[in-house]
Amino acid sequence: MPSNIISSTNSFRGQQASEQTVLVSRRHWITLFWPVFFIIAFAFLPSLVYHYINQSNWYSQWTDFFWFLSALYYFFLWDVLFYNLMIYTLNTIVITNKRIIKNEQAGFFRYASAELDLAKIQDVSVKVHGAWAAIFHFGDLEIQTAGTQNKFLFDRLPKPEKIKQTITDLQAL
Amino acid sequence: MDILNFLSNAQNWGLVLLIIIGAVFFLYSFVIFYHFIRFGVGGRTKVLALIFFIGVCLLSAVTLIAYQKVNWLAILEAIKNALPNIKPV
Repeated sequence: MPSNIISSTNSFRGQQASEQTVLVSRRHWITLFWPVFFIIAFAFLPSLVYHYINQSNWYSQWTDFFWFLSALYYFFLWDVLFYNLMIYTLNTIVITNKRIIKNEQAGFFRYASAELDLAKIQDVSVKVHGAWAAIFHFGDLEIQTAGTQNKFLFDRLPKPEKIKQTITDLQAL
Repeated sequence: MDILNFLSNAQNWGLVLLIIIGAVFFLYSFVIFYHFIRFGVGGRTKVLALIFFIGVCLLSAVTLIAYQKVNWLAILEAIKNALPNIKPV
């Protein structure tokens, strides 16, 4: 594999010349659990159908058609799986030495991007709700800024305390 | 007329079906691939795009092989026999 793919510097669109990426974070992997669980469960459907129909006398005539439909079905599942992975990977919070950028991907060609300057941050707070959040170490990060900007909320981030520490460290520089 | 001749051959119906379904799947796959490459931050999204692309290639090959093995005439004949015998008025 080409080395420039593996050793990426986490560059992003709209990056300024003197700007360096400090941290890129996505939502906790637990947000992917149910979609992936259902896709894996649905992957067994052709095997289940095969188990019930392979004893029928008419199955021999339809064998090849059944496998053709199964191949199409797996193609569909593959696309659904990667659609979910795409939404997961494109929802990011990028922390640079100058600002914080929040990218929200809602679907195909539907995204929103918001940013705030590190200098304008007044308060960073972490909220952990529930037992699952405490066990799997994820929570919400809320950033209060000076001026007229609203609060910035980043939900279900992994290790939010670490991200908060990174932001406060950058502010201290 | 050429299209009508083409469609009058029952064996071509499978091909038409494959082209329509294939076009939808490939368009959908291309858009996912494009999003990974164009909007992804970092190397992980590019690696995922590569895995996705390899999977699409493999599944396309499997689907084409499975398509070639289907006897569409026998399938259409079986559907025709299974349907109730409707006589014209």
